[in-house]
Amino acid sequence: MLTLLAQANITWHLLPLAAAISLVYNASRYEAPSRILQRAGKHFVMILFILAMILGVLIALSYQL
Amino acid sequence: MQEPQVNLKDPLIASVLAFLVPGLGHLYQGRLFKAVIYSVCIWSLFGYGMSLSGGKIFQYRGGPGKPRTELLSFVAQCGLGGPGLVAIIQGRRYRRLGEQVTTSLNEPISSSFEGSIELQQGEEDLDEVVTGTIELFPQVGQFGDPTIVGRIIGTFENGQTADYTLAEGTRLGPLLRNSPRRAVEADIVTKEGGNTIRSGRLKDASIPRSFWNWFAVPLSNFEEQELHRELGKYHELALVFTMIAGLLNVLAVWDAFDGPAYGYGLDSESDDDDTDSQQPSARSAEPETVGAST
Repeated sequence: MLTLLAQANITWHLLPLAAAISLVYNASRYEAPSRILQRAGKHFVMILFILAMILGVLIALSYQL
Repeated sequence: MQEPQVNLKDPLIASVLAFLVPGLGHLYQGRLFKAVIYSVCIWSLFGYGMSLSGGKIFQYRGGPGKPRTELLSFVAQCGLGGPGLVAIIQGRRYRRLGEQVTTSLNEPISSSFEGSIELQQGEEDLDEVVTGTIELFPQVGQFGDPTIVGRIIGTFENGQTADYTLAEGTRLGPLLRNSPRRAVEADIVTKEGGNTIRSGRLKDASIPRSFWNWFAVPLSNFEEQELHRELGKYHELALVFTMIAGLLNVLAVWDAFDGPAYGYGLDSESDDDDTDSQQPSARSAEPETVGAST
């Protein structure tokens, strides 16, 4: 699994990184496991969405360069 | 002040444990779910960053005369207190012992061995990989200086037995270096008619280095440049993973010391905004024990 990740495009490393950050951040904010998981899921999606937006902006700005 | 709804036990002890080993402080407090989250997430990030770099990304290169910019990444990484303290100790050992090649021993060494043997046999040269055991002994050299001699007993790749004597002047790589293998340089001697003749040498030979003598040992400037060259962008990736692991542990330490920042999840599940749970009404909700309590 780790080998696969290391050989994949570097962008895929974002997924475990975002998941770990979401989980730890929300674990430090809440105590109830269900709340932690729920919030972490939302934050995970939000991180990916924001980064996808930034990627889209960068692609648009570099179009036909 | 609101009474905590989880038993933090001794917050100071818990935070020190959480700082040294992510997850341990929460385990001490009986908050098993959080202990699992913190330990799995933080150790995974740190371990993956280390594995990407072959264990060479984590080190303390500070000290007198060193630029402070070299410390910035370490400051983030050492949010993991246990490995951070080990790195500081290793940095001090490295500055004290340096990178001197070992040319004398206080006591014999017997260790597993890997390397090639180059022998000049008449017109044909032998150059074969051998694995086995190496025995090194301290000895007084012919000019009265301490030196190292030794013997290799092993097998070649074709199954043939190898048994060779190592000449005076055998050298071992530095005791401390950020590599799990320690280089061995030696000439091979054979006896012919009562005379000792140097008939070959070891090539790319090494013995294992103990974990304590390589983990978190600082890289030299040359080794650091080589690591950049070998890893390319993965050098930065490994650095980011280990730094984020350290920074995330700061959150875990504070959680162990002061409990969850926003509350205990007793407010309405439909609340989506983080700020809502910071309201006094949420924090002062009817106490309900979540996690371990006594």
